[in-house]
Amino acid sequence: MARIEIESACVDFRLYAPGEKSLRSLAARPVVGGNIFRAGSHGRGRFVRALDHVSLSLKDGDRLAIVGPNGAGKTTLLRMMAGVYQPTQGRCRTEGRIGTMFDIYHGMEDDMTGRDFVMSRGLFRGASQSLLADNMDEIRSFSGLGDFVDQPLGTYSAGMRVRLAFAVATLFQPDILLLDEIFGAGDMDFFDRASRRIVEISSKAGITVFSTHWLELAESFCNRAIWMDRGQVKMAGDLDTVLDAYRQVRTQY
Amino acid sequence: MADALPERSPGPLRSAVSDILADFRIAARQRAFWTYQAYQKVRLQYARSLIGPLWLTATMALQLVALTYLFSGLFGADMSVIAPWVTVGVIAWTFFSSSLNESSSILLVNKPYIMESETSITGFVIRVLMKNLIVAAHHLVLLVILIVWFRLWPNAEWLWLLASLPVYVITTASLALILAILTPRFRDLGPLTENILMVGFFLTPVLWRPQSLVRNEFIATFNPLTHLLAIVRQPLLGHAPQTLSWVIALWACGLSLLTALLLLATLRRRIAFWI
Repeated sequence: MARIEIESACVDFRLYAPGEKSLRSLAARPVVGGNIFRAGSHGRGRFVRALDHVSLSLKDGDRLAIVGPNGAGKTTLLRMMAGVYQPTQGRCRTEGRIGTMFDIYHGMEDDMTGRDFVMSRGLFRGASQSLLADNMDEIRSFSGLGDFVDQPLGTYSAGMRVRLAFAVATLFQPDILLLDEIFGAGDMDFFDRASRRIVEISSKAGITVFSTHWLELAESFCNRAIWMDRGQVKMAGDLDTVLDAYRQVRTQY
Repeated sequence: MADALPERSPGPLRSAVSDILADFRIAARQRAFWTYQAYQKVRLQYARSLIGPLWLTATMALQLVALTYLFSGLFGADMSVIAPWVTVGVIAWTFFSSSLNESSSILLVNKPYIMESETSITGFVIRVLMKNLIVAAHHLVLLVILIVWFRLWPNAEWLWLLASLPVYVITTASLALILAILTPRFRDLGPLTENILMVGFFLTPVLWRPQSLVRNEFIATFNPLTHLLAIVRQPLLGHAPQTLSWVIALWACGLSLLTALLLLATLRRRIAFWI
């Protein structure tokens, strides 16, 4: 059973960079796209509130789309769910094995082979060496890499890298699947296969949370949505209602 | 029912011990990853090279031969005395300083890993230590050659190593953990560490022997690294380490371990905000 309970959670980032003073004037007024919210004050120092009293409750069967302009806090919310950021205020509790697909390309080095990458990413996720060895054939066929899997990544095309990264990222079946804008390069033929795979894993997972600008993709497999704006949940509800409302104003962003 | 969910809120702070254990638990769960990465870092560095990681041994051999000749000439000491002294010193120091230097940047370099799940800080430091132990193993071949060459057969004093090697490694690991935790927040620590280690290399009897100092003997005596090095080196050269060396090395080990664990408990959950 999977659950996510978020109660009035805030995530604040302290500004360390020199010249942070100038950010204050920027924070005081709404910025196009809402990149910087407002500086809260916790005694000394300046803060940016990336999540502002967000409450959310997800249970088995929920497939949530997070929409909103750049800087709305979508990624921060996902990272908080993943256990990366601890809320500054409020709470965030999860139950179930979490699988994330945030940056599926990281860990790729030109000198390592495709097989090395599979091992490295797979072991990080807690898979055993033997499990990964058993799945190597499936990865080879899904990614279409064939014998290239033993060649250094430096010899791969951009599309091949996408396929490999995607094959590894979707190797695991979590209870809670967290996705952040995963589609980049890659040809359309592969995109179809990739999105089918996502839908498949998502349907087996208890909860899926998907942040995207690609509303059509969200519509294809989500059933709930929240619209984030400057760290706050502007609207929450069923998919169609929220996306319709969001589409109305999106042109303004 | 909601109480069954694991807490991830500031509320009443979980005890420091359980936070440290949580970090260790994640590291243990991913142990195959850290080992694999440690080996891979060494392997990838010499990808497509003909002799591969043997370069580690070859480079060190060349340096040691040159340094032995130089310091044997400088101090007028016998090669059979200087060669083991320099060899053990340089191998142990390289392990120490590389571990510390790499640890100070390890979390920043691995930002994407930290940004995708609740990660173990200890795991990254263990990875650095393991990589440097693998490198040290490549260097130790030279020590074995030296032992055979100069007939420095092991004697009873070598048993000290059973205690001194763990102390040496734990101290290094603790200092590495401290740097790994603090550098993301205080970015000056990276270059600062590099500088201190460079100066430390000259001010610590790695190449020279303390008895060669004709004045300013305090440089060696008041330097904790002198003693940390001594407890490892003396047994290998067939002598028992001085009591003073043991006392200072154990203090250094205990203090750094305690500091590292305190920092881990209090700052572990802040690190993602800093990188």
